[in-house]
Amino acid sequence: MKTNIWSRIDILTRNMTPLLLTFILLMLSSIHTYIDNFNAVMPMLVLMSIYYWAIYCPNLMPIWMVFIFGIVQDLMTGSLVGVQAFILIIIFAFLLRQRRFFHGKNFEIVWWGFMLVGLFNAILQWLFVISIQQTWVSPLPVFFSYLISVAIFPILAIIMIAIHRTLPLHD
Amino acid sequence: MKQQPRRLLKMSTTMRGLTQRMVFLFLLIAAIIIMLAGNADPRIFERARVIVSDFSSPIIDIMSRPVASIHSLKNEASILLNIRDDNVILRQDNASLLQWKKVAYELITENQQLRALLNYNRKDVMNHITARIIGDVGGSFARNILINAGKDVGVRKGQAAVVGDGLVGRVTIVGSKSSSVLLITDLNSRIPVVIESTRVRAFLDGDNTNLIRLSYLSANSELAIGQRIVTSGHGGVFPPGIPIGIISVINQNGVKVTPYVKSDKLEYIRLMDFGLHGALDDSLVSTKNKIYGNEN
Repeated sequence: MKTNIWSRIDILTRNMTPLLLTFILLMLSSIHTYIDNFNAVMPMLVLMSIYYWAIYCPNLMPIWMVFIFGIVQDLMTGSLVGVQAFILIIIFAFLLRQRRFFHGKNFEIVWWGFMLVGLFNAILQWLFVISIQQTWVSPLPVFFSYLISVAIFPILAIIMIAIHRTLPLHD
Repeated sequence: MKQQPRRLLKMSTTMRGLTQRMVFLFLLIAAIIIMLAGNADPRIFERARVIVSDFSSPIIDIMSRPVASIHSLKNEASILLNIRDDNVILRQDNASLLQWKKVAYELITENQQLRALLNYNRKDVMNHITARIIGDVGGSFARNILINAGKDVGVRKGQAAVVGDGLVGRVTIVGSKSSSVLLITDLNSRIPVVIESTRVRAFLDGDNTNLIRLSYLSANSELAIGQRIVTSGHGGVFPPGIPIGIISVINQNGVKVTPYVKSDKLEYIRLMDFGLHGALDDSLVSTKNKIYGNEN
């Protein structure tokens, strides 16, 4: 009986890893790095996590949690609340429909998919900002943030693949 | 008989798909409503921002510690390596500053005498709070920093964030244990300033870059590279005379100011309470609070 409870707790904890990882990445996006202007080009860590889990384990990444991550991100950055939530749920819903395409494909294809999704995220973010501020805002920071995201996606993917292998329910 | 479970499975899949679509639509509409509400009145989400700030600050603080340690180690190493050169420079500075010290004493005495003559009561700094920077929370389109001091130690909205060299920004969100500071380089930052030598008034408009734009200058402003920009005190947010930066670019695209302070390398900032309420005091905006005298 005891083993049963512990094994359930173990399964539950492991199933929560994708959400926990996304939360950690959300917090990590805001640390003080002491590097000149690095925060402006901080990689899209939350998007990377949502992208991976939407394709491989959407049952462990509910859409309402994606919405909450977006809202929290907006509240933390001081931007208009709802913008990032809006973009993330559109991306998530799109990935849910297209995820079978990525199954069984090479990592390069998954990486290429992230390039498209990241670009969509960057463009939409920038369009929202210029429409809200009603002034010209340089797209360069978000563009460099996108480039850095694309560059480090494989590193984060290795971590997520390792976590994925420990999960009890493989999708 | 075999078709029955298959049909049930198909029905369940269809239902699941339909529910997913409904949830997606519901969340999409919710996001739009939240955006519209937040755009109409940004203060709606202020409480939520405070809660998120208080909740996330200890976590970000812990995550930032290793980076902070590496940064201090790097600084220590750099200090040790440059100790000989620094010593020479410091000796020269010391000799020069001793002369300035004499001048400063004379000016203090003269100032005191003139103030006594004019019966001038200057509102000076009432309170100092030192806080550690624990997070850069702005992202690609905003310049905000998170600090580990809040209402509990006396932080108030509108307080000026400064370091030795000059102004960093102002407090915009105050939690119980953390606060958010809007940097002077942020797109939403507007500071009334004066050019110190000519006393020409202007506005310093942040645009998320390291150079801040000087706007609303009069046509006959005598501008020159290197002129010091200080706060003018208009609007009641900052007191007059806080140094901000120097004019570094003058061309057809405008006048740009390089701030004295770059927040990226900072570890600590000082919050100064000048006892001013200015444009950021909600009690002045809210009629209800004004009537009942609630100034929280």
